[in-house]
Amino acid sequence: MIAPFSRIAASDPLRARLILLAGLWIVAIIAMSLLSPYFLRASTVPYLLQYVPVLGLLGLGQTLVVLAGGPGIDLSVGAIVSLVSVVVGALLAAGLNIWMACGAGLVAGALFGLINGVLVNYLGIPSLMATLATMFAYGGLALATTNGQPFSNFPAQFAWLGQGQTFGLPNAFLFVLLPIATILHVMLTRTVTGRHIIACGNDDRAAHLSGLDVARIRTGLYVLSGVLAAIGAIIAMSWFMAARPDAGKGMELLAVTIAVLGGTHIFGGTGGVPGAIVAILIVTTLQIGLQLANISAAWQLGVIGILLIGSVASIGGFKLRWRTSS
Amino acid sequence: MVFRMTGIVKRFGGLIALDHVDFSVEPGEVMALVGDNGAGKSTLIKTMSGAHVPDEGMMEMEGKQVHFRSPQDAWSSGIATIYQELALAGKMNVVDNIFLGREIRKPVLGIPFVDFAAMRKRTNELLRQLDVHIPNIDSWVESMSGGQRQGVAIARALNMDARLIIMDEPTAALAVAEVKKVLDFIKRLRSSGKSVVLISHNIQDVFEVSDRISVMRHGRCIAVRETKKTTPQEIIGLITGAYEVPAAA
Amino acid sequence: MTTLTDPRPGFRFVSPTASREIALTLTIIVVGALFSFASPHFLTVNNLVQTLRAGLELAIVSGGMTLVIIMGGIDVSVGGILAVSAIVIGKAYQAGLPVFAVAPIGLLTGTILGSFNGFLTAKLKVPPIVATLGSMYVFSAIMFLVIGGAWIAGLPGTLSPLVNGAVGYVPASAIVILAVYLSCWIILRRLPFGRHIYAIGCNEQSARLVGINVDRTKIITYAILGFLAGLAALLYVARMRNVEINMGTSIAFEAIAATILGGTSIRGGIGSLLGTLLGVVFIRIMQNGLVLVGISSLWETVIIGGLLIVVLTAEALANRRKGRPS
Repeated sequence: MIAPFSRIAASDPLRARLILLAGLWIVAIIAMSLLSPYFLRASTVPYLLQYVPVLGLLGLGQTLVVLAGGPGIDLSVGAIVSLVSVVVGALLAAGLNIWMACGAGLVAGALFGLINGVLVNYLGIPSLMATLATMFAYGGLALATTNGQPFSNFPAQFAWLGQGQTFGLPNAFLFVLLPIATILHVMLTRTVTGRHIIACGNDDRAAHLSGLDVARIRTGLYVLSGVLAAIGAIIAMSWFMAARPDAGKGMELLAVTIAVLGGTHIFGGTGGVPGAIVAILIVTTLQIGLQLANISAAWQLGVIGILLIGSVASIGGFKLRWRTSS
Repeated sequence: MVFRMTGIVKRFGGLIALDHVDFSVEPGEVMALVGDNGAGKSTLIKTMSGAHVPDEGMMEMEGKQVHFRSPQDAWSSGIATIYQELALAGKMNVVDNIFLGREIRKPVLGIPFVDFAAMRKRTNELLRQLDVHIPNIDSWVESMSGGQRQGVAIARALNMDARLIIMDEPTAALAVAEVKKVLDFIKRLRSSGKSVVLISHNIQDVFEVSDRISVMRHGRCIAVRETKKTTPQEIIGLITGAYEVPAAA
Repeated sequence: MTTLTDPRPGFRFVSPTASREIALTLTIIVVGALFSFASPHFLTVNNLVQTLRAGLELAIVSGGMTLVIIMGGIDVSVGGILAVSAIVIGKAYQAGLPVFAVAPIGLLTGTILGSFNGFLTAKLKVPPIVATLGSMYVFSAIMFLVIGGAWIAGLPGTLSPLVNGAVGYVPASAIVILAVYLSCWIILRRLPFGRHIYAIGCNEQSARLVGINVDRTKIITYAILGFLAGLAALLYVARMRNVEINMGTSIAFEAIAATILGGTSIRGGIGSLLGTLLGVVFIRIMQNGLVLVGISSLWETVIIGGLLIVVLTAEALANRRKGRPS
């Protein structure tokens, strides 16, 4: 069973990663259902899928940013979620209607992403530091301008997005995450833009010499990451019916985890949407399952950490064994 | 015989970079290693310098068998390598680069402190010996000219007091006057009893300094000739395959 | 002989980080002056010493972080190392062990955890950001597992003179910080090991080719950071007399910010311990001063983020002008 797998791994590491992840997910499901009789019921599925959209959007955005290389990373996504929440909450408080407030939130997210993109790609600041700095700035702004106070005066219909269900599946999942994931996947694998993104991640000098505007492509992805974070913020607000200024705290690390676990190489060039989706499912399955079994958050964190290290280490280990044995 | 490799095989995935290579260097000789791009020259010297571990075969240093598991092993065995990329640390100065990995220590209460004064003195000596002009040895290496950087790399190898010095395309990026300095330096190494393995694309340089020439082609060492007894035409023919050679000479 | 880092051609005795150190010092003086005008309590011995004590952990950890970043790595799990070490220390005290036993145990815990990070990076070839992200999760998990949500309280303050005491007029905290930074400086600038750290940060491949044992250097450097985190944990427990779960969450990012503000380059190869210390001083003064002046301390993160952006932009533009690839 190992032999055919390593043959696939040789020819298409992404497909191999996908198979590995799917396997992991099945293992996770089995493990969770063993841990708790409540897990394997029909009602668990929508419950699980409700958690998925926010992290999913952030993970997808991160996947694309990392994919385009540089190396690229966006540590500020969590802070963007918080700051966009604050912007929307403030606009609502000022009397703007919900649609315009959300629209403004999306624009804000794009703007924050644009700042990141410019810092990294036009000023040449390494992405880790630039987005660390903007994480401080955005997160701090969110907390400082509201003094930590959430805003909770949302109109009742707003809950539809985050809390409602259609055909038994959560609305945010069905009408936001699924379409966006599909669009991104199609863009990445079938369109010219997608090919360009992967080219940038693979070898940006070659891409540049071939006429691609690497800086613009990468900046565009940071903008996209910001917009996706804004959408995530809106979903989160709809779910909690409150705009919390620390809404995104800690999310950036989970987003990077999802991207890396999903098979995107930290230096870019390899990776994709399906891997990220399965990674999100694994992470959420573990979280829900362990919660239902009343096992503390500690185990979830630990397992996620080990998965993260294991997923990258195994690539290294695979290659290592390769080079020395053949 | 100061160095010999026998039957060395090195594979990268499905590619056989070194195909049962036999290669030897005598004491006090300059051995040129020539061949077309992709023939295996770089892989050969990287195996000699410990950067690659061979898959098969044996290497001997002065009669004793050696296994280099890392560049450190090769340096300790007396093989100094000057890579084509020079392997210098750009944001460190001349003194630091020459002594990278072999800093002069001054133990104080058992703690090995770096002896900057001794290192600076030795650096000046080495640069003088090599006739390399560097106005300020505290400057960062990345701000220096190609010739100066080459000089620093050579000084580092010289500082090693090695028995065998490998030079990968030392004259490739140099001006004419600097090339002459390097060639004179190689001759001086030979007269002081050291051996040199020289990779070069420049047949003229090869014929000026070498004693023997090994030709590589497609991962095999197809011929070894004494420089005095061959001609540039024959060597070029061997490199390109115009002369087919049944086995290594 | 130069005291800090290597000079550039033309400037015989001025280090490349000198300009940043001077700028930071001036900024601290200006900001300090502003605060002392705005609040009579700022420039009092009592206040300054208190601030010093509160900043002890950050200062100690930042020193180690500087070494790691100069080497070209990064460690976002320091908070986790600190927390786990503190828990081990707490449990050791609770078990009745005397200080002479507890202190080495705490330091050893930190060192082991730090070496783990080094091992992941060096031997398993996991990129440092991913490795320390994963290990942060794992350490958090360990933390939760051991103490759940509870605190460990009522611990002995045997070591508290090291924090709260004084030698004559000089506060003990200052002595501890100076001792730590002096040791780090000796390691970095006076030992061959330090040369290797710079070399690896400059160009890891070259360092390897020249025969430097890169793996061992990396593991030891991360271990040093872990050791310092353990030391910080010891002093934290001595000061606060308890261990709680929220400690150390943001210390990693703050340490990174202090290091970068101080002139160390995120790419590695250039750094300044003096600059890091100044960075820590700046961060702590900001926090303290803002509170005294009546501005919410929540603005501190914004200011740090903004300053980081300014500093990074300046560095990027300077690199651009010198024609160096950014």
